Amino acid sequence: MTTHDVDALGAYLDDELDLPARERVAQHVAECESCRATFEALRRVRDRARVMHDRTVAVDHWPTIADALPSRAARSARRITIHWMSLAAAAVLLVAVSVGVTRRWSSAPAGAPPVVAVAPTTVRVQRVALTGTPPSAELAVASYDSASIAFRALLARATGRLRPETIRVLERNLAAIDRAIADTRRALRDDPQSAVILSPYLQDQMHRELTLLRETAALVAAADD
Amino acid sequence: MRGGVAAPHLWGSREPCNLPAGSSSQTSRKPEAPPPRLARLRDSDPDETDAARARDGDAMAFERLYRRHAARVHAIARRVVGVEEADDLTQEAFLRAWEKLPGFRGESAFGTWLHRLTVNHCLSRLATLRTRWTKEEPEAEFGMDVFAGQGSGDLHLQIDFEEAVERLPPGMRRVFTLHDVEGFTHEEIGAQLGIAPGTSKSQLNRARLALRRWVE
Repeated sequence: MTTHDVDALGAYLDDELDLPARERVAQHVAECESCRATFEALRRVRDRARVMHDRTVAVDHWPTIADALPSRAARSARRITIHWMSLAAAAVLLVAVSVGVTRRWSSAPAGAPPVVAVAPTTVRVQRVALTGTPPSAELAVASYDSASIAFRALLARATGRLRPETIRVLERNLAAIDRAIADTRRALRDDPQSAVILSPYLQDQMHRELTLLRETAALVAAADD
Repeated sequence: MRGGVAAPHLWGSREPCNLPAGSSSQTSRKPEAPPPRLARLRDSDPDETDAARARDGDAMAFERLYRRHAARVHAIARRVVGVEEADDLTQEAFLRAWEKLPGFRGESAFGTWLHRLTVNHCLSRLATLRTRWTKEEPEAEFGMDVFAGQGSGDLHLQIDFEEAVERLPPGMRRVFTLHDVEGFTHEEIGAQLGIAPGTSKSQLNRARLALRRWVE
């Protein structure tokens, strides 16, 4: 028997032959004792490979690994921090915005302490004058705008790191959320009394944007791995 | 015999033998289900629990994962790259696993994920070593008995199957490990090792033949 024949037996064993060849080899194996013995040996070796025992490792590597874990974790955390640097602020802002909007646009009594959205220093809050809205809500909306800017900056950074289709999906979702938020804000400005109904909806949209932020950051971080 | 010329059996029998012509025409093989040992790991609840904890930064949970999988990871490194690199690769594989745990969503068993990560890490190392090991591996020079010169007397009585695998010539050992142990296809192996799928098949069958003494 040649190596060619052995390869044919191996291919037969691994079900790699087309039907005519398989039938030819099957017939031959049935008739040739030597090839049948070889075929059975190949099969036993293959089956044995599937239940290989793993010897205990002579050296305990855990102490070395454990020593390296914090530095690795810190390195990994730093990398993620870079991605999240602008986003963390945006996330905080979105939460603050949600709370602020909910409280101020709902039936908060006049004179109640204002809910202040604290803007982290990494994000410049651009105040947007909104006629008829309370100061803290104004700040909250402005903070949301900053978060939106941060998100768009992230999308710009994601270009080239993520697949174009992924970017398109993200942009499409962002546009849809932005439209919903803009419509709600317009409605709130035109009719502050609608806050009871609309502010939870606005909050929901902002949370959607927050979720998109998180997922985008995770995608960019994964793309960098 | 093909073409009327008798060829000796590789494994010692001198009985002339001939497989039908055209028997080597092959179809591309679909990836098979993972070997049973990997499938079994899917039921491993402690792994899932500890992976979730480790993902949150619990080093003790990660140590438990290390204890359960170190032998397997080390074995993969030994068989795919070689014993001399196995310790470093084991440490690196676990450190990479720690870093990548946040991306582990539990779609496969942790063991399957870790072993794939280890294989990929080993293959990356091999790629960097490729120039060196291709020079070291004149595979064609291994004769019919690839274990010739290793030990004295009946080697199969002195070492077990696992050690025999590790004593295979490097090219055969890698292909055998990746295909028969880890479940890779010849196309995948060829792409990873920079060899033709046909070469991978040939190496595999030579390795199987060499190991037959350990299963008789």
